[in-house]
Amino acid sequence: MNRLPKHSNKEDLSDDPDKGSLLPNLSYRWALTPSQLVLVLFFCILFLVANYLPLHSDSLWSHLTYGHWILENSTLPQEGLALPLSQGVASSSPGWLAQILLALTEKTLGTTLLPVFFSLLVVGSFYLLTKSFFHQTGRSSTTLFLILLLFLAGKSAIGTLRPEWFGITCFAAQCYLLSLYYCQEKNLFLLTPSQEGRSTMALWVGLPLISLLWMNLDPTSIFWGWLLLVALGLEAFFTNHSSDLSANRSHRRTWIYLIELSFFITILNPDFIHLHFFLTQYARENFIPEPYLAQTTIELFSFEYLGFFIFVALLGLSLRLSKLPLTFGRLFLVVVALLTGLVDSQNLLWSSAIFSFALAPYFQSVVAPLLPKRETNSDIKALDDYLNSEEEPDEIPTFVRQTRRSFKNSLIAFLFLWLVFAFSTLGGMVLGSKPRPAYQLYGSPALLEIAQKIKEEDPKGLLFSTTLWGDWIVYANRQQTSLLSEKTHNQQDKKLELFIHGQRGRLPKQAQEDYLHILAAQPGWEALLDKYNVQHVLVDIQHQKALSQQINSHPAWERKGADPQNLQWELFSRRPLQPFQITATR
Amino acid sequence: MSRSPKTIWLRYFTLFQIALFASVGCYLLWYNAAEKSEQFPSLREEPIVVRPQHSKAWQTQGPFIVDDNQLKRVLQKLVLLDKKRESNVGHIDHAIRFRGILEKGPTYAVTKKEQLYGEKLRQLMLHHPTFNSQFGLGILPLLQEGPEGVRFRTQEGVYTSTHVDHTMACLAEVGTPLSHPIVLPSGKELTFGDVVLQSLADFSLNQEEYEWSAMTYALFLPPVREWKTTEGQMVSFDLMCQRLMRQKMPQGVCLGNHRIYSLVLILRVDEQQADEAKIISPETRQQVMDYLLRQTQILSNTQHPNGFWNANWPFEKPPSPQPATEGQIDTLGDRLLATGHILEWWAMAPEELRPEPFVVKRASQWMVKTIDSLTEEEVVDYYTYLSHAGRALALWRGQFPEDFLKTYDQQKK
Repeated sequence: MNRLPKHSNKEDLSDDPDKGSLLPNLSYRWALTPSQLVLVLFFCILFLVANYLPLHSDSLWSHLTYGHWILENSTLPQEGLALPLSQGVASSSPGWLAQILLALTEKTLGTTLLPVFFSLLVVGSFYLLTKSFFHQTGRSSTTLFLILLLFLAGKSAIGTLRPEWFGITCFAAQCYLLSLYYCQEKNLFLLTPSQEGRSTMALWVGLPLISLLWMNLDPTSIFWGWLLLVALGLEAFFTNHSSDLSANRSHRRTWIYLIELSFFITILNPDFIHLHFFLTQYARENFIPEPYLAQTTIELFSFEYLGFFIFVALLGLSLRLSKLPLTFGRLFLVVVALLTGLVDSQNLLWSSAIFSFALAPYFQSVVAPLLPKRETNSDIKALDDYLNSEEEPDEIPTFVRQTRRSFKNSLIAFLFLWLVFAFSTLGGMVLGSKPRPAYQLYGSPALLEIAQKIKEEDPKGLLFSTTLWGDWIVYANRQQTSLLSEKTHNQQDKKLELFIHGQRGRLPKQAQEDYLHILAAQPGWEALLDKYNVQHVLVDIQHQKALSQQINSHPAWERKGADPQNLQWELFSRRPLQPFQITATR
Repeated sequence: MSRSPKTIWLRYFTLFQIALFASVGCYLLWYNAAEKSEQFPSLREEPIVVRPQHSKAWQTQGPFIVDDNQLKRVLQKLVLLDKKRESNVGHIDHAIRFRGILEKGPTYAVTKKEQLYGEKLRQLMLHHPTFNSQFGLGILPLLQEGPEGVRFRTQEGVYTSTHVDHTMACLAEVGTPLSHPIVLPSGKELTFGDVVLQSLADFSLNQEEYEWSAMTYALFLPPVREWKTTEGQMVSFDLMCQRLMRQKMPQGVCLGNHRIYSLVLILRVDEQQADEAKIISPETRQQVMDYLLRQTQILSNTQHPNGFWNANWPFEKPPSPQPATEGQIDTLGDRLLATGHILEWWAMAPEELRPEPFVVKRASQWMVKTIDSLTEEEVVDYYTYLSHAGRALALWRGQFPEDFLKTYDQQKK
């Protein structure tokens, strides 16, 4: 039994120090349950993990470069920056706002604080999802379970700090906003003013605003952005929330208006239709997946997918056991989430989040009998009243005996928060600890060595490298790189140009195919380098063993340098063409 | 009977939805149509004819390159009449380009069945039943139907086109109009325009062989200056010129000479356009001129005193007057290939890109002397290279070969 200290008289307490020194002055609303404490602990760990992840991504650096370019030129680029082979390719700017935000963050706070910015995005997304689960389940313990399960299923996405997190945050905000209008009795999201008098204004303003922001922040909006809205529209359309026919009709019409508003407001985008075309048609037809980046792709039968399968099995089971009727909208969400998760491991976090959002009420309805009675706001108020009353009741009320709230938990949570701050990069700067070494920040000393080598060599003309390293070079050696395509054919007048970087989807299909061909050193790779007049090749020794071997013994290429251990990278430059090297065809 | 406010509301809602979806639908239709029209630009019915430039300055020196008899001799010798060796598609499309299309003319190619001339050769390329009857059954059809039209089967043996879009460009250069009929193996009837459309649909700026595509587009597209490829890339003639200049010399087909020829052709087509319809920008024009002038300077320095060049033309003079044996650099084939192509692009180039007259004369005389010494079998062996040389010698007289022959015969009469 939980014995709570009774706050009978403050003056008496000050006179008698033995009478309990830590009596609460705050409402018991601020005392946390163990589940809430674990949730706080989870967010603390999540923040620290994200904070200490290296800034590693296949496109982060080019996004930053784009952001800086947009800030400097006050306009969106009309062609792929530092990507001469993409000249003439319809240039959309999906994610221009995220690029600007990233560049602004870096400009004002410095690169070392970029991880903090990302951590806030990650934690913010999980927090909003937590709230949306809580609004549907009403229980912090169920919410905790769901959020931990979601983390387990989607943790592979957390390992890469990419601008996609802007999209995930928007999605979480969408979930949160919708969950505010969740009606537990009817298991529906109601767009009519609630019985508690809550206005629907937040939804009318919030949803279109999120859509607008998302469309400008990240191209994931094209698919994931509409998914939830369409599902809930379907739910409204196919489910009667009231016995009143006209009320149902009105509800449906309102949903349709809201979805239409949320869609058409995205016209407020510098490149609306073109962006849709670019992402749905051009990108689909022309983008070739890069096996080299397979490290971010997970095998279906792997440990990483295990979390997802457990997640699906558990929630699927709850769907089966629950007595709540399955609505059309939720069924749609579940099917889409399952399929997208299975098709591409990069969708795991998205799929899991949608899955849990759609099935949270079903899971809650199954586990509800196993959980202690839910504390309501009136319980907490009664608790506060009991503790503040001067009268001693004959018997301690049940809700007082059963409550698991404790200010000890709150204090421990506060301690965690302090520790997180102290150990984070931001806290380290405030408290004067050593700054994080650059190789830890960037994830690999090789990146710094490459940037240094390119600075020293100052190569001119086209450089072939992997997407990852191209992405880094366009950022780290920005001053040496030609961002807009040059007209000159004199190598001496040229700056450094890149064959590929993180925005590789802008490359014409043939160039992408040739890139993969050279990367794998398939027969004819030399002729392809000739075809593009590549002047320099940066080889990733670990992943391109064949290319490394062949180019080392090729007379047309001269080795200009490598990392100290000769294990990670080597830079080659083209020797002047000699008569005996003719490769011309007739 | 008055309607309830709810019914009126419902009616407005429905009308609004219909209007909204209709607007969106119309916009998408318009957008798709615009995209489609961007992808396939409108083409000219007749290709632009680019004639050789024979300036007054050079005319004053008379027929100094080769005389009439030499040219007549060369043109008469460069035919494919070796009965033991059937002409293949590479021979035939070169022959069409070399000798032009005549309703009736001298025989200059043979198949198992027939001795052929201009129009019959074009029919062989564009009319599958003729192709089938001449080369026989069991040969892969030359014409392949594609999603946007028809393409010539390429690099799948001697009865297919030797290079991407080569046959198409040869036919375009001799003035084949878009409406010229084509008959496919299925019996379906299309036109030459469908070949050009399919080529546009297949084209990628980064494809390996693009020289003949560039030529054809320069002849059929103007005044259109840019178009969208199926890769989503807007390709302009400016960008095409950058692509043609991208690689180092002598990389590219025929020691890089087809890249140069395509650049020359684009320059010449651009010259023929009115000011408001120029296909390349003044900056690109200047870059191309500078680039070609550099090639002329290099060639002037690397010519052998006897007049020829070899496969090392961008680097050094051929070391010996005697050709090397097969399998080595500097064979007779290399020399014929290099020298014939070089003479050809110079003949078509603007005057400021040409070398000193003695460079051309030396090369032409070497070429005539060498052709005179070739056996009939060697002519067939080197025919594709020699067709460029023979054409070049006529072009330097300011005429196409068929025009020269006509005027020569008339003068004789």
